[in-house]
Amino acid sequence: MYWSKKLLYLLIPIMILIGIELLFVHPHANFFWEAWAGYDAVFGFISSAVLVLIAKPLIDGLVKRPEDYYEEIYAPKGYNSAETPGDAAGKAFETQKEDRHD
Amino acid sequence: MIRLMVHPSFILLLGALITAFIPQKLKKYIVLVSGVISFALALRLPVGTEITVPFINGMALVILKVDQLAWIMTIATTFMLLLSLLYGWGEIGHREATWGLVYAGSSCGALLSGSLMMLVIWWEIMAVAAAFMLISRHDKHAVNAGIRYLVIHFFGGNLLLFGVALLAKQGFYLVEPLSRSMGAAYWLVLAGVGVSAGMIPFHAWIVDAYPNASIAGSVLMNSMTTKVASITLLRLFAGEQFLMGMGLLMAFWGVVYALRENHIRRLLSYHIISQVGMIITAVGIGTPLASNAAVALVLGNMLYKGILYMSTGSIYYCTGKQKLTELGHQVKTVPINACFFFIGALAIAGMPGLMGFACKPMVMAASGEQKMALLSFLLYFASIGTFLSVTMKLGYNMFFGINAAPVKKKNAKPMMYAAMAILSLFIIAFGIKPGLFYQYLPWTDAAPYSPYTLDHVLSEFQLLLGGLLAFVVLHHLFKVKSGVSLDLDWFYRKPLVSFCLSLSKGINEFRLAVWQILMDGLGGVLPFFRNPMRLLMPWKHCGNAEFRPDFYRMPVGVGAAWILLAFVGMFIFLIQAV
Repeated sequence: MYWSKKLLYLLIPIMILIGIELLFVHPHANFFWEAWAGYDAVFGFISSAVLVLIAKPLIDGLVKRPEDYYEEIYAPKGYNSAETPGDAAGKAFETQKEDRHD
Repeated sequence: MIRLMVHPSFILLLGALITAFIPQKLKKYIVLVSGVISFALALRLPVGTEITVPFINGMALVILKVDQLAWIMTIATTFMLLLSLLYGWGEIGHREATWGLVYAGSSCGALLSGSLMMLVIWWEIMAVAAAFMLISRHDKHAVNAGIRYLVIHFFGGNLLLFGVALLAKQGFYLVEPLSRSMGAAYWLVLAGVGVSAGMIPFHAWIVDAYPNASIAGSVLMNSMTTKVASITLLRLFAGEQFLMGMGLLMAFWGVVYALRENHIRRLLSYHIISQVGMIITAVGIGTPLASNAAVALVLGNMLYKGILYMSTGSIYYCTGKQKLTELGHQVKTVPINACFFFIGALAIAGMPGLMGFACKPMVMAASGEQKMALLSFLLYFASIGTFLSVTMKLGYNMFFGINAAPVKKKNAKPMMYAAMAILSLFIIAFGIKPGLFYQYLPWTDAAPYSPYTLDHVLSEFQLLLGGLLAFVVLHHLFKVKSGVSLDLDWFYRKPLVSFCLSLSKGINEFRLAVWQILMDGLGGVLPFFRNPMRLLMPWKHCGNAEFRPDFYRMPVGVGAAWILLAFVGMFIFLIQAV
């Protein structure tokens, strides 16, 4: 109901504009279709619909990814976090030193 | 040297040099003063000035060549620099202001240079300055984006340098229209400039870099690199057929992505690709009317894209949010900002009475004049996407929409409103009376144009109302999902990084294996050296025990015996020597 009322408010000015175009305007169009009265309104509606109908499946379906998609590559799980043998040896040395002081 | 002081770039570079060494408090005044001086210099720059300095091999570098196009573009560039300084007054970072001045200075330099070699030099400075403006923010995302920006633009700059070197070999040094008969050099220069203009497949840096700049930085970036590249394309490649197709592709690519984008400044950046596509199409048509249309669109985009970046930036400043899924009902919290936004958004959609109406229909008129039916039709098609993506989708979801308004953390600064007010004043003035800026366009005498005829105004209103009708009918299709849409930058952000990481991972695995073998070997030998005292005192059978000083202590006599032995040995040795 809410949206249909809005539609009505929109259709009235479009009709008025087309009416003015039919009555008063002497078109100097470059192409024959530009001379049709009301062409721009219809074109605006159809092309908008086509654009959004193409864009939604194309972008949402094919290339949309989660927000942190590019984040994880800089800190992949498990990479560079495993203890190297060197670290293990170092740790063992540290503990040995502590033991000696006891 | 004194003559060079009239060049607006040198004042900006001098200002940048000074600001690099002075404290933060004084810095913003110096930055503003050098901006104002360069703007005044640009205004007073006499058209027709030419300054040359000698260069290698008897070549002369044309450092400054002022024609009508360069003059109007330099004024616009320095004006946008001033406005972005005003907008970010007190908010611009320590190093960011310095690099911003270098960026604006090099952009003016590129616009004013008459030699190709000089153009390349300014081009590279521009890339470095913009990248360091991003990197100086000390934000992880901004630094990464800055480094990617640098890599892409060095690639483009090298293509340009390669092309320019080949052209110099053929004897062409000046910034003049090139022709296809120059062979490879022609296409190299086109590709090099094209990278900076955001031609597909090198467009993703726009969407990567601009949203990661600071709020004032993105206003500045909007009016520099892509615009300078468009003007350079106009100077070198007006009438090149390839640009028409590329421009159309960019116009659609940008709009389709913008329609589904969630991040507000990324949406605007995608829309830049679409607008630059229109400019490039106009360059490709190449008639005087089309060239004028390209310049008008460049100027228009600086102004109304600037105001869009400013108003979305100040919403980000107030709320800390810049995702459409987190924003809504801003019209209640920032009503003045909403007014400025809709002035910019309706201007960019081409609403009569605002500046866009004076710029956008010129491109259609230029294609219509040449009887290019398909091109005219597709341009019209792409232009409705502007209205849908920016005005309706961004404006509706941000200022009205279904989400609740986020908490306002701080108020926008008065300076931000001042900058937006100045811009909107110009947008409305140029919209109501297009002659105000048409008179300064370079080809107005050859191709006069007037947008205000009754059928034009009517058809524009009809087009916008038709788009609005589609938005109302299909409003459920405009709801955005959170998430990032992959673009062609995926190739260098994902597989390339994985490839490089896998190389280093391979080396790392090798290093780890070698280290493991070494440590194993050492571990095998270690028990024997663990406790040397065990070898000296075999009578103390304690297995593989650790060294303990108390347990392994020798009798004092052993030590005394060793010392005695040493003395005896020394004595015998000395006796022998005597």
